Amino acid sequence: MNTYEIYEHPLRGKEAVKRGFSWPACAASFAWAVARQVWVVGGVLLLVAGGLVYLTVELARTEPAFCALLWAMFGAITGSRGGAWHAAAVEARGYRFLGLVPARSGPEALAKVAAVGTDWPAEWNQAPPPMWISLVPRSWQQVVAVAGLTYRAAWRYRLIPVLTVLLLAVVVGLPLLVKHDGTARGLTQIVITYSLGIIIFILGLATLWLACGTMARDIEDCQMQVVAVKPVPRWQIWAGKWVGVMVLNVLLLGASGVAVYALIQVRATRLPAEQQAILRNELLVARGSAREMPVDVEKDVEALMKDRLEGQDATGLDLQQMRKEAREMLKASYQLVPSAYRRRWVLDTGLPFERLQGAPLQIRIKFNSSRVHGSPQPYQTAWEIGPPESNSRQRILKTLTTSTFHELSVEAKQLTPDGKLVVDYLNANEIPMVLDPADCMELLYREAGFGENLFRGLLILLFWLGLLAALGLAAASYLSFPVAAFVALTALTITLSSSTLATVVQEGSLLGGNVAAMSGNITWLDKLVLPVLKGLAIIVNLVLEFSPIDALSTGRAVTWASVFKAFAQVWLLVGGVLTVAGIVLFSRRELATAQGQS
Amino acid sequence: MKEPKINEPIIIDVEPVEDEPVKALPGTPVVAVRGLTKIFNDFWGRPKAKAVDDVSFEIRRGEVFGLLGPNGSGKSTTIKMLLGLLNPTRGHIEVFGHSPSHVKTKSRLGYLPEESYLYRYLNSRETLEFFGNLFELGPNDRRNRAEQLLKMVGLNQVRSRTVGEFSKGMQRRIGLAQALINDPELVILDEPTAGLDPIGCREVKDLILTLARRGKTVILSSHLLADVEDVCDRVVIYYGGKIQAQGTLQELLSERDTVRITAPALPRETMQRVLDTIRADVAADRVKVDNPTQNLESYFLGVVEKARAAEQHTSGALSGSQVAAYLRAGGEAGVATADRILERFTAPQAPAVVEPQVVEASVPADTTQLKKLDALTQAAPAAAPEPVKVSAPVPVADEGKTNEKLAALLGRK
Repeated sequence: MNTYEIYEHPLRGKEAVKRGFSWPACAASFAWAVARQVWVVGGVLLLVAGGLVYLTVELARTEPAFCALLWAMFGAITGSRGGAWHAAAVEARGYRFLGLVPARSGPEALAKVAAVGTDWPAEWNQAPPPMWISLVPRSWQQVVAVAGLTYRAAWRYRLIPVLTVLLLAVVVGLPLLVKHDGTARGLTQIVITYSLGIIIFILGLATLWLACGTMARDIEDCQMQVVAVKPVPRWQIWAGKWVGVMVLNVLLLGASGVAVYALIQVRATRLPAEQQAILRNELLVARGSAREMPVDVEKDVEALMKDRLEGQDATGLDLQQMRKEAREMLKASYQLVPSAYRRRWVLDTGLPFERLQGAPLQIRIKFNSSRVHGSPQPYQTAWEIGPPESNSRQRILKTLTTSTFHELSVEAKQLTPDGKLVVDYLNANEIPMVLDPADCMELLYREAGFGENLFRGLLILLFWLGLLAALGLAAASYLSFPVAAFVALTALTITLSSSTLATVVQEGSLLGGNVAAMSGNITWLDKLVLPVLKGLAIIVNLVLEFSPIDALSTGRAVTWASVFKAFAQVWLLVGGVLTVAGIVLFSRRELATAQGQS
Repeated sequence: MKEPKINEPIIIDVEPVEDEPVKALPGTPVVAVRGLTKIFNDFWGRPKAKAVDDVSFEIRRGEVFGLLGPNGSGKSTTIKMLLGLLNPTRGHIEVFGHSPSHVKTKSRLGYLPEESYLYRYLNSRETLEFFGNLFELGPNDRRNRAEQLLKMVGLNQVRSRTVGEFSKGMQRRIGLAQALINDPELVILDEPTAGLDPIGCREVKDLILTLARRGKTVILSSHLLADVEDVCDRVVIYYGGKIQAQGTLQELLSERDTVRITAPALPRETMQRVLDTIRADVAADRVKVDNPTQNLESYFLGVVEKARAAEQHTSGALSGSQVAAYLRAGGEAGVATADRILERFTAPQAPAVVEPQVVEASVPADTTQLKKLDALTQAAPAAAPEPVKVSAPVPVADEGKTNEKLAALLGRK
């Protein structure tokens, strides 16, 4: 038995609207809407359906599962919202709600109403609630209610539609405006780096604004007075606001992610075959990374110091300076490859050979010459890859530029059975070459597909947005809306100025940099502010340690380990501190004054 | 002068009457306030204003308790401290034996603020659903109560319009509904009739009385003295943050040296005998004879009821239906005629507020006065007069001059 809402028009009579999931709306979308005279929704559904048809035509062969998922989501949304859209359209046409009637069909509901006249049985209006409501645990009911309120506010104030249009304009419009260079890397640079960067910027600002507004406005406009006198602990109100903002972010970020995925897949089909191969093998993929184990320089430093000081009186020697020089010397010896010398790396993937067999492999390299150049210069390079004792090692002779990352394809058969790769560099130039252990050699291998990688990357972006939501709510827990927004934006600006912050901390002075620090000219301002900046730098590093957009655009894996680490550092640690501070401030705040204003 | 109608009662004011003993407060205490003080500080923490100054009172179960006072006298501040929205500077508050900030205690409270502090983007059904969720009501209970309340406050047919589109009166109605969604034991109503039309005012007052009959405690803050007078058992009167007077309305308002006798219109001879008898004991210039008029509220309600009976269309709020079943004693079984608000206020009844047309009876020999007496008695019924009612005189309420009256009552500073 279904439930029907009965509406009555002074001239047109009665109309029945079904409550709950609408299968006709799910199946026929815009055609159903037009038949029900739900014009605006019908127009929007027509546009969306047109977009989906286009995607399906373009991607049906390469991404059938993705297309099926989009259609399923479209049907689920139209089916679940169809009844509400119909009811709203009916009321907009001047009908008035009369009540609820249990019936198997609309005509049956109207017949029942005609039979009873105005004397409706009371039990008719006791319609069963939607299924999903019963799924919410009672202990979450209040948090979910406040979250739903925040979400509804975002809809009713047109924030979600406006942001959706804005984000889609960025995702679709930006790549059309900014032409790429026709390469796979150029395409990913625009579609992923620029688009996702702007998306996260827009969502970040919207999150801060909404978080500040939803809390501060409720307090200033006194709605919070009516909520706070209900049996809801204040921390639950706070948490509900945060959840509401995050539901919004999940929806918008998810929609943006789907749009980015769809767009790059469509644009990829227009690239030349060679670039498509690069795109599939090196960029639209989650590539794991293996590096050489770092050398313990300090151990060697101590051994060298022991050698130098043996049999000498160390009194009066500047041991710290000696140790520093020894460290730099050893580092240089590790980095420098003299002319006609060889440098070897053993890169361990930690994965069995079978796992990597057949998958494309690359080494990512970067080098410098020992001469100082104003710009990258080309040099001849020679590489031998594979087990040293093998007769079929892969040899690559290539001219590459300095100070630039290059990727060279590696034959999968060069891997050892335990998943290791040996790489030799032979310096055939007349001058020594410099290969910094930090970034000179890296083995890249396929770990997962682009879709999964994008999902993990979006999760980290979501953690950042969650932190911004906590920041906005914490500020608004004590401050008025404009002041809270200003404070939150200032905090965001400081976070985005992490490089300046790091420089100041590294130089040890606000004003003079290294010169001032070395001359001992440290001002009282430095003494006062530097500890604060150091603390800030630590916090900022905890948050910005992750670079999901960069990883996605270069085909690097956003590992689950990094996702969990981001969750712990961004949400639990930094977000947790903000949350506790915000809840304490909110709980202690007086929510009214004698004049009724806060 | 208005012509008296058949069977219209006349009123005779005489004096004195015996003092009634002050009743002891019944019931268990719901709210206890002792030495309550609230000082608002400025940005630097310096005292800026003393809104409430050493206030003490107690409210017991089943009472309708009125907070009266001019603007800025401390009523709202007191209410907000009772609700835990403000922290007292000094003093002690207990609500159901707990601190106002005790979360569980709040499930027993209902609060209607002085303004519509509801979410403007929610419609009326969503508003009630939201607040029902905050009380952790189950889905069925929540929906059923929301339906009943929407009908009760007359907003059932505009349930899909957002609160922001409502008139002030409609916002008060939905505000009142949200205050009752949890069937509260203590209802705090801050200016509940502000912005309501006379029908709405009457409904709210009837609702308060219904709640009181069910043993609910009601705290009512209002400028409208007539509202307070109609429903309150006890009142406190604030001025300058202090309680200037408190007690039952009977204690505060009775003119104990005056008696009012109300009776149907009497034959001229009977009237003359009554006056003669009275004048035997009281000086003639201290006896007043008049007849009551129907007040404007009753007249207005009658007009609207006729229009409603003719089914004239309105896009605003409808008159409320009967009190929500879960708010009535015994649920559906308690649907008595007395509980049907519309039926009650449209049924023939004695006027709520009487505007006496005073006739000075100090010169009975005057022919003019005799003519007036004739006018008062000429429509007397042939049947025997009904038993005479004796009541204390009720002062006239004047909404527009509330503050001035209170100030006059308390003495200007």
